[in-house]
Formats: sequence, C-alpha cells, structure tokens
Amino acid sequence: MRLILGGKLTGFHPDAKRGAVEVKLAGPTRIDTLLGELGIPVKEARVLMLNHKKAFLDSLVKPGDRLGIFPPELAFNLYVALELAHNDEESKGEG
Amino acid sequence: MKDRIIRVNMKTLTVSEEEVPEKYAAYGGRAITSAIISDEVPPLAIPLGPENKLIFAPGILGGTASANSGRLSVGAKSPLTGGIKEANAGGQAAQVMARLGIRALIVEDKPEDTTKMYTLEVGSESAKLVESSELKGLGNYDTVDKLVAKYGDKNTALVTIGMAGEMGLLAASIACTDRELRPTRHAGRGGLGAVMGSKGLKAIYFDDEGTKTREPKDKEAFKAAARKFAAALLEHPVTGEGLPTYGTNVLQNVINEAGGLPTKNFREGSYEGASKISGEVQHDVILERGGKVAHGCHSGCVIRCSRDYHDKDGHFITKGPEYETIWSHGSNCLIDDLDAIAVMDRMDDDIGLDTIEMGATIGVAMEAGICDFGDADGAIKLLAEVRDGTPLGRILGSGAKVTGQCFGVDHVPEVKGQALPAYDPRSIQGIGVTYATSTMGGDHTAGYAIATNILKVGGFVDPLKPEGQVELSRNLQIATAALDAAGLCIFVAFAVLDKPEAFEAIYEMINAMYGLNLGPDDVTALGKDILKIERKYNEAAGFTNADDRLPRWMYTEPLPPHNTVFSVTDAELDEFYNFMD
Repeated sequence: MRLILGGKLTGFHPDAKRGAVEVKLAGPTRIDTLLGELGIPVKEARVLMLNHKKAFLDSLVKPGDRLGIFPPELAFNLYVALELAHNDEESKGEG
Repeated sequence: MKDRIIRVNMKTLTVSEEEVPEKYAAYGGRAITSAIISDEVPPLAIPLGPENKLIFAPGILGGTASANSGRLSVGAKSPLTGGIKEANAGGQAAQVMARLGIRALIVEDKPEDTTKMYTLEVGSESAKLVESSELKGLGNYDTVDKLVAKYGDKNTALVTIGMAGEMGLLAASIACTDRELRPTRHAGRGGLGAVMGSKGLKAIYFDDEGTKTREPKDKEAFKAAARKFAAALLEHPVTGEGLPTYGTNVLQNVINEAGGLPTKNFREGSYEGASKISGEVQHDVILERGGKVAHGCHSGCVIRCSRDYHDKDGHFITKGPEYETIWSHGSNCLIDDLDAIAVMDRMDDDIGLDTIEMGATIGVAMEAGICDFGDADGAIKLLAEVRDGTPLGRILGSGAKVTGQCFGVDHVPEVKGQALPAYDPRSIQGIGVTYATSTMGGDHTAGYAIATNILKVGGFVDPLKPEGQVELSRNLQIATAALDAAGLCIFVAFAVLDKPEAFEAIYEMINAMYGLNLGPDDVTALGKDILKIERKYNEAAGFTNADDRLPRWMYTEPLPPHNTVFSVTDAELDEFYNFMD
C-alpha cells in the first residue's frame, strides 16, 4: 500500500519526508493496528483518508490501497473540518 | 485623533479630507469599501473609466493591539467580473493607514494626461500627489526599491502596481509591502491593479513616523479581550502550530488525499506530483537553504504563516509561496518543481498579477496547446510575455476566461469571469456553492471558514453530496464578510469557530475600542448587510441568478477519483440570498 503522512507524522517513517512511501501489508489490516505498528499515537491521527475517502480507526487497509494520515494541526480545510465534526459527533455517541 | 476619509481626485490632482459620515460610523474594511462603491460608483460604470473609484480601507480593528488585524481591503467595480469587488491583502499598509486615522482612501476620476504616473504621499498632517513618471514601466520590486531610496526604510509602507496594472490587464493585482519592504502581499483578485493603473496612480507611500497604536475607549477591557483573542490563536493546533510550521501549503497533501485538488486544468482531482511540492517538503527546503518559516506578513500577526523561500544558493526569491500559488502554477499545470513555482510567484509579484488567475490561465493555455502540461520553462516564458506586454502576454494577463475565448478552449474554470481557486467543487460541493453565489465571482475566501459552532450549522455535511451545502456556504459567507470588515485575517476563523472565547473576544475588542455594546447577533447582521449591499449592486450592474452557476462541464464531467459532478441544484443555489429584503 501507499502511505502519506502529514506534518510531524513524517517523523514516524524514515522515507515519509519526501512524499508517499510503500508499506508492505500481509493482508487486510485495521488502521489502528497499522498506527500501532508505525508508532503513531491514535490522538495524532486526526484525519484519515483511505483511497481519497474518509476512513475510521477500524477501517481495513488492503494491499494496493492508498492511506493519508494527518495530525490535528493540519486539519483545517472545509472538507476535513467537516470530517472532524462528523468524527466528534461519533465519538460523543460512543462516549 | 478622529477618523477621516481622504479623497484623491486624479483629474484635478487634488486631495481633500472629510469626516466619516454617520452611516459609515461602524464600517471598516470590506463594509466601507462596498458601501462607498454602492453609494458613489454607478453600477453600469466602465471599470477602467473615470466613474469608477478605487477605495482602500483598513478594518475596524486595524492599527489596534489586536492580533492579526492588519488586512487591507481594496474595493472597486471589478474589470474582471464586472461586479463589485473587495480584495484584501496583508502587509503593513493597513496598520499604518489605521494609525494615521484613515478610515478610507478614495481614488477617483482619471488624469487628462494619461502618459503621466503619480505617487500619493500620505502622512499624519498631509496628503499630496507627486508626479513620478520615473517609475513608469517598472515592476513592483524596482518600484519599491526606488521609493525606499526616496522615502527611507523606516516607518514606510508602500502600495504599488507593476506593469500589468499599468497595461490595464484584468489579472492585475495591487501590491503591499511586508515588514521587510518587499512587495509580496497582494490584493490579488478581480483586476484592481488595472483600476489603479487606469487612474495613473503607480504608488502610495504611507509615512508611519510618529504614529501610535490606536487607543481604545476602554483600555482595560480591550487589553483583556485582545489577550484572550491572541491566546486562542496560539493555543489552537492549526493557527498555533500547523500554519506557522508549514504555511498554507500544508493543504497540498491534505486536499490531494481528499480528491479535491484541481489537477491538469481541473481534469482530475488528485496529482501524483503533489507530495513533491507539499508544505512538508517546502518546509524542509526552506530551512536547508537558510530561509525562514513562521514569518508574519504584518506587525501584530501571531499566526505567521508566511515564509521566505530561497534559491539553491541561499538568495531570497519570494515569500511563501502560498498553497493557492503552488497549486495554480504547480498541480493545475502538472509542474512538480518548487523552485520553478517560486520563480513564477516572484514574477507574478513583480509584474503585479494575481497568482490564482495566472496559474489557472496558464492551465487554460496548456489546454489550448500553447505550451505543454508539465513544461515549467514554457510556463515561465508565458509570464515573461505578460511582463513584456506582447499581444499574447496581454491576452494571458487578462485571465482565464479571456484566454479561453481567444484560443477556443471550452473547459475554462471560472465564475463571473474570475478563475476558480484550489478546491474542485465536484469533490467539495460546499465550496462550489461559494464559488457560484459569492458577490465576488469564483472566490474561496468568501466562504472558506467553518461555522459549525457560532452559526450553528452543526452536524455533518458530506462534501460529496448536495444536502446542506447552501446553508453552510451562506453562514460562512456572512461570517466572512464580518471578519473582512474587522480587518482580521481569514485564518483567525479556525480558532474563532472552534473556541467560543475567541469569537467573543472579537466583539469585545470592537466594543472596548469604540464604546459600543455589540453582541454575536450584531456580527451576523453586519455580515448580512455587507452581502446585501454587494448583491444589490451586482443586480443593478446586470447580474441575475443565471450568473450564480458553475461552468456547465462541472455538472456533466465526473471528476476522478470520486467520479462525482457538482449536484447542488439551480433552485437550491437560488435560495442562497433568502435573507435579502
């Protein structure tokens, strides 16, 4: 799969500074599992984009997919902020 | 010092001053520029003719100790759109104007001798026009160098035009100097540089000698509110960390991953080369070459999204560049070379051109086969044609719509004649409503911010679907108009809309400054009033609901990767102005 890390999250992969990096997956993997493998704290993964669409921590990433992960300080455009509103509502619902 | 309005007549070459009329008492920035245009410029005036007026105004919080209150509003009837226009810019001019007690500066009529150019000198005691034909034909950088040599580099703020404005090109901008006296901050949109050029006005020099930060009526209350406001900006992750560290171009990767990055003249919604020109890469390149990040474009900015971009030898090329520019000259033209984009940004600033309009125009020119997509050298040569005023250059410098018409291109991204910015409305439907309905033509800043808290938009609005988009855009445009009147940078919205105390601080500052008692409803009412003034003016200028539409191909050509079209209906768009009297 191809992984795009935003902002300071580029520090969690040695090659992520200059753009998309290839990550090998054994099979379908939950995003929160992948975050754990990369060492990225869940609270830093504020915006998740899987194949250009919103994704959630329990979404499955498969070989060949494209995943963008962005921290809170980058979550500031119309689209993403609306995503946040959605996620916040969901998290409230879960709480 | 009581606020005043300065009126400059370019025909008689005289300057006069008047008190601020009662009806403009609470108006600053976009509120006063649009009100004066509405009151004084006939809606059918020819934009480059003598009846049009060019108005400069700081916001109502300009020149105060409020953070990020230094936006300069510039207004006129737009030669690009044919409608009312307010374009605002950073840089130092607004802060100095406000400290000089100038609520608005109105430039009217045209000189009889069109071969002459003038500089307006404005100080605390006087304002006068001086002939400065030696500046004729110069770019903004050389113009500023000559003016700094004349007026000195202390207490100076300059507003200038380049060759594009002198030539009357529709994409011409008006440049404001930053704190380092570089002409890097532009009132870019709508061709206002051409209006300034048509009046023979090459430059305005504001003398900041002896001025002081404006004193509020209630100092303690203002101090408390200003502190609360600045703290909110610094605490918010976007304004306190994201923008200072990576600048606006941090959006390049984000919007690309959202599938909304207009690519190859809006043919696709994602660009493989985006990660090579991202804000993260730009950040590293800048630091490796000794440039600057976290740079404020005007005094009092705590967000500091500006930066200094250096070439490989460590010499300053340009500011930023900003996201919109890196998109327009980059992704939109399939150019993934930051250095080439920086050169184009410098050329735009020097010639005095709107970078959004020019990147979109070059995309249209590439579509026409004038140069190949991805050809950075070819794109730079096209800008040189504009600088040199060749016939091709004058077509290109007149924007995307004119270029499309001249070269038979049927795929031109524009609304009301103004090129669309860096978000494709087929992936981000809400911004499409803003593009379609804004009084300004295709403009993202008119309804860019997020209003989930203060205006109670609430809930989730799926960016790929039409539901809820009109209400969202309406509330954003109302809030933005009010921010523009205050002179606040649009980026404060990220904190303002997330943190109730930041929003409160804005009207608390205005109340403490002027001895008023405004509340949140008054802010909304002001935003609505501004939009009503602008909408009525545009109607009188001949605009109808049929002008509030995106290009037809956005309704019929699906955009990869989502393969969606713009699907907000015409009937829904026509409900946008349901608050009109």
